[in-house]
Amino acid sequence: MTYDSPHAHVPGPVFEADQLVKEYDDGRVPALRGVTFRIEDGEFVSIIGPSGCGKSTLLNMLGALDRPTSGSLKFKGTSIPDLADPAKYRGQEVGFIFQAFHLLPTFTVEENVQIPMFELPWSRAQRKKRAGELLDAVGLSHRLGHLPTKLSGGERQRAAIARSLANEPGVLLADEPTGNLDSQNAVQIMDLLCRLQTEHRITLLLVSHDLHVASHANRIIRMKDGQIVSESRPGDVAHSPQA
Amino acid sequence: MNFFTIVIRSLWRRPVRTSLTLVGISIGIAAVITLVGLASGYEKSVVRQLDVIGIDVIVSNMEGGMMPKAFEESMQAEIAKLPDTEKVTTVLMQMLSIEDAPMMMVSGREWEGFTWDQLEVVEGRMPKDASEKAVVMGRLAAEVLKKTVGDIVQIETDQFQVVGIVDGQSVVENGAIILALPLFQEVSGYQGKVNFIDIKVPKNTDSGRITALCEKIEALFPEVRAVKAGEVVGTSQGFRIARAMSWSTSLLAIIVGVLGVMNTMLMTVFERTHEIGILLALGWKRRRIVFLVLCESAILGLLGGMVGVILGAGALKILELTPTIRGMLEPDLSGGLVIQAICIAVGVGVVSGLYPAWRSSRLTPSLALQG
Repeated sequence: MTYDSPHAHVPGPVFEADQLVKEYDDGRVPALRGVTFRIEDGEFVSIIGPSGCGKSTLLNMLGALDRPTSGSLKFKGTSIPDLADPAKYRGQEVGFIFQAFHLLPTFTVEENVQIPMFELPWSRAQRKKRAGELLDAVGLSHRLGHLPTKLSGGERQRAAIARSLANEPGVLLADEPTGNLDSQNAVQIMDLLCRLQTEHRITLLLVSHDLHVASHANRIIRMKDGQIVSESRPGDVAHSPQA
Repeated sequence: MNFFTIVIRSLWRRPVRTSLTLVGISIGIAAVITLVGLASGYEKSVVRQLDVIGIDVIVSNMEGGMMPKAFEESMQAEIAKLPDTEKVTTVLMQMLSIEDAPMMMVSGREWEGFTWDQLEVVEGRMPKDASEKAVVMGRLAAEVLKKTVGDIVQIETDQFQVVGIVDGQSVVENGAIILALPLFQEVSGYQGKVNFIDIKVPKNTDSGRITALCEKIEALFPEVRAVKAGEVVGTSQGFRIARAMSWSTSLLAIIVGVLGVMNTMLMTVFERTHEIGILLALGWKRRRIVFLVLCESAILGLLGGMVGVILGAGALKILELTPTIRGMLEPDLSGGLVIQAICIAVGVGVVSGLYPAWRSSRLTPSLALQG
């Protein structure tokens, strides 16, 4: 693995949310109802809950893909909704991993990994070299020139993980990263994410409805109906798969 | 992979639609090339004709449109008395349908006027005098009408013998039927009338004196305009109408092109909402996405422009060979017109892409990701 995150790991919260509210359709559809939490630098946090509980909405807020209706949401002390350059934040501070992979179908795996690098002042050769390193790190060096449609689900997600690391983010936001995978591929992807997180102390926020997947985290936040209902550490009885 | 790889790859994703849009733009640009090339060719042909004959000042009444209105031939004598006039001659010129040719220039010229001088007899001879019921034909006119020396040509209700084929050293001259002025006045019903008085000034007459001469003529005869030969194209109403018509028709074709590209780019943006959402999520700035869409539409315009220039050049070549055009003008496809047309095409592309680009920049990333 040649990936090295340039982000300095400083003590203190990476994310701080206070009474975060998100409503759709002029307030008729509440998605988040006063969510408050802190996420420390280098933490691996899983957010679990049933479909529609607001966990993906929360991830979108954290990734500046959407704006909260009210409340406060900060990244290293800076208000995310008030970021002067949200694109730079999305491109350089955080990396996204989606359930549906979201690879661009007309570009090869290597080209997909290069896509986020266009906002950096890197040369074509630098982009190519970096994409090669990342794909090597996720075990896809033999698939550089393949289109995403020629890859298995697990390979696609590994390509998406390589892409999420393209600009050396300090935070990874993973939305159901194993949701479209069989159990064997799911295990491999979680192993890969855990390895990346541990080796490089990336702050990893993982949204899942699967407690097995979520239990890889250092901390589990459980949501229901747009609110956080409990927090725990793996091993706590309340959060065993049986619970 | 560089940025333009992404642009080209995006365009090539829907090859049929991209090709159809290219056809739309290229037809518009071909129309520009053809119409403006014809108008410009007409202007250049006339300028060349004036240059070959050696006319310095033209007196005419251009209110009549493409062909000036006729006026009294007697003006010539008064004008000839003015200083700085070396030679003054009269011409009655009409565009007529001659036998199988739908339009042909017929030029009745004052016998022994200097406008006969540059005609070189290729075959046969010149008319003996002003009363001989004979015409000479420019080489192209003879070719179009399939006439040789000794043949008869019908002009209006009268018949004339073709006594010579001449080389007039310009397309307009070579495409004309030339005969003595009194004969043409009679056959056309313009007895005592002409529509041009051509003036040659002494060598080395400075431009200021020629201008003064023009002013004097206009003061003497307010119904006509006297224009320096080099300024005929710029000041003539007929040329201005031809230019305006060619550009306004081209404009319509361009508007159709704009709508075509805009439709394609809008469809592209709508279809790619999801992809734009991915790019936004991956940190692409909105302005880069706007630039992407504008580059795509500009490249569509550029390619359409290039194809349009080729189509337009082909159309001009074909028109040049048709009996209607042949001998009347030499279509002009200048480098300037090609550059102008390509710039228009790229402009069409960019303008057409503005609204789709703006739409793409307004997308909320989380909603765009949902497609």
